[in-house]
Amino acid sequence: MSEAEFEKFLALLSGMLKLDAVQRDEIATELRDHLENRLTELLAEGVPRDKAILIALEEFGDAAGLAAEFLHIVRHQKRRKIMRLTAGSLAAAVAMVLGVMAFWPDSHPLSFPATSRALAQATAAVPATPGEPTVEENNAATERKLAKRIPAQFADTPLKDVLEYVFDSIGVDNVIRMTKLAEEGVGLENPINLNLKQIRAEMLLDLVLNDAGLTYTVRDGIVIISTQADQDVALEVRIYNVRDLVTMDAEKAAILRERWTTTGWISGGGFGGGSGGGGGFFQVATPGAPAVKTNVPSAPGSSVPQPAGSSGGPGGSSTGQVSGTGGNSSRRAPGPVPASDGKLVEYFEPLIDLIRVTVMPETWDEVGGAGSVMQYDDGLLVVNQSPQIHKKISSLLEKLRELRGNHAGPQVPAKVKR
Amino acid sequence: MTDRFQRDLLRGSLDLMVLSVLSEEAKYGYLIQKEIRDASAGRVELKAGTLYPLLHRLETDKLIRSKWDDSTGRKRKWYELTAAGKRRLNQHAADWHSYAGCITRLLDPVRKLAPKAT
Repeated sequence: MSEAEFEKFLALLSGMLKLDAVQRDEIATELRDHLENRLTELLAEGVPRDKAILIALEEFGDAAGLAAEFLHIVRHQKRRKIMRLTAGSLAAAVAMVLGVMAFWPDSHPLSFPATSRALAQATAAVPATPGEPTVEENNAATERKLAKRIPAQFADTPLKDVLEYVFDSIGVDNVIRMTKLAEEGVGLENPINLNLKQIRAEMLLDLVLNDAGLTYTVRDGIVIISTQADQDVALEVRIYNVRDLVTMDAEKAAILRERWTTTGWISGGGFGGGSGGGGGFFQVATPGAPAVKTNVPSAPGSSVPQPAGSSGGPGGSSTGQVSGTGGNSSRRAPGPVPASDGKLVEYFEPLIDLIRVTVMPETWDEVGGAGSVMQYDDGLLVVNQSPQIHKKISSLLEKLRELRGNHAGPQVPAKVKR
Repeated sequence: MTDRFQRDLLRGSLDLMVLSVLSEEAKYGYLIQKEIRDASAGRVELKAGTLYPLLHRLETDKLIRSKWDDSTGRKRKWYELTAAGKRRLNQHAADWHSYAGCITRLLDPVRKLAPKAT
């Protein structure tokens, strides 16, 4: 080990300090002076050189934690300057308004409400700034930043410092719902130990937040951190267009159904069984003819496959509706009927089961979790889950499309605010 | 538990220690660390990773100020107390003495109960 280790440490630290070049150089110069002084002292005490270098470095702790400390101080300073400026500007604005009111010909000491109303109306009348990014654009920008790779080397670094480091590194605004954390008795002091050269910021967040019982979501470009019990943050409804994955010819659907009911994969009962009593949804789309929709109820929560032709349990949604020209019974034998050329069916259950079984199985309502998934008309899948699980679902759908050779590309899920 | 108690004590008194060490003359980081270690006979080992962020915070709070000097042949950052830092030191030192006296009186029964050294 040589003193070059000092330079490596300082270079790593500088790389993590999102400050201007002068500030970074000053910090590196100051710490280098300390390292050299300490090395001289340890050598004078008879400590072998290699060990002395190691001790001097260890006394600084991990570079990421140290960078987070410095960044916290700089940010705090900036925040105070902004607050001072804001307070100053506000005071000046109030003084100006009072001055104008005092000398205005029609002014009256009691005319404040009218003035306030006028100001409010004027403010409300100002249109949104042209070119201002939309909520979706802000979210997309933040998601891109969260996908950036950053170093993660922490040794007993408090979670709050790790979070600060992550957000400073990728330049993303964040809010921590401290009241929710306090209600759950969750703190941000637990020590984090990681030694990763590079990791995506979102994965690092997942790692450190999950351990603390926390989660995050992105709203209008801002990352909001809260407890996993905070439903407002923990769950988010997204609608996925999976038409390309659930549409198939009736023959293929029949084979699929046969295979999966035999293996017991379909969790909601016989064909058409959905979650928690929700009816399965089977749509036959015949070119030139209205679609035939058969909604077959199933036993709530049933995990026992029912034979084809079973009417399912009594707890499902109301009787299946048959519309168009092809249907004549709300409880007819479910399952795809061999179709002539050109007839397509939508078959959601295998996909829903695949999602439930492979993506965090313990989080779905079927097994007492908070997440839910429901099919909707026209190839749409409505999922209420945590943002992290939504990402896993998106990834799964993308992989399915790749393997099936679908060229439509991944669908962008529509987000619905709760 | 004892470790945590000691850490809390250290955390609560770090600012005071650093301000006090700077009360007589300007010093650079390494000297501050060494003086605290020597004054405490090695009991207080202020890690460099704690000291420098603390110095930067005190400077941000305008309790100390710094200047660079290279007259010794090495570029070095020196810290000294500001007027606000001196006021803060005097105030906190007074608070500390008062609090320590209070705790000492409260712990008097413990001292009486403690087994006498033979």
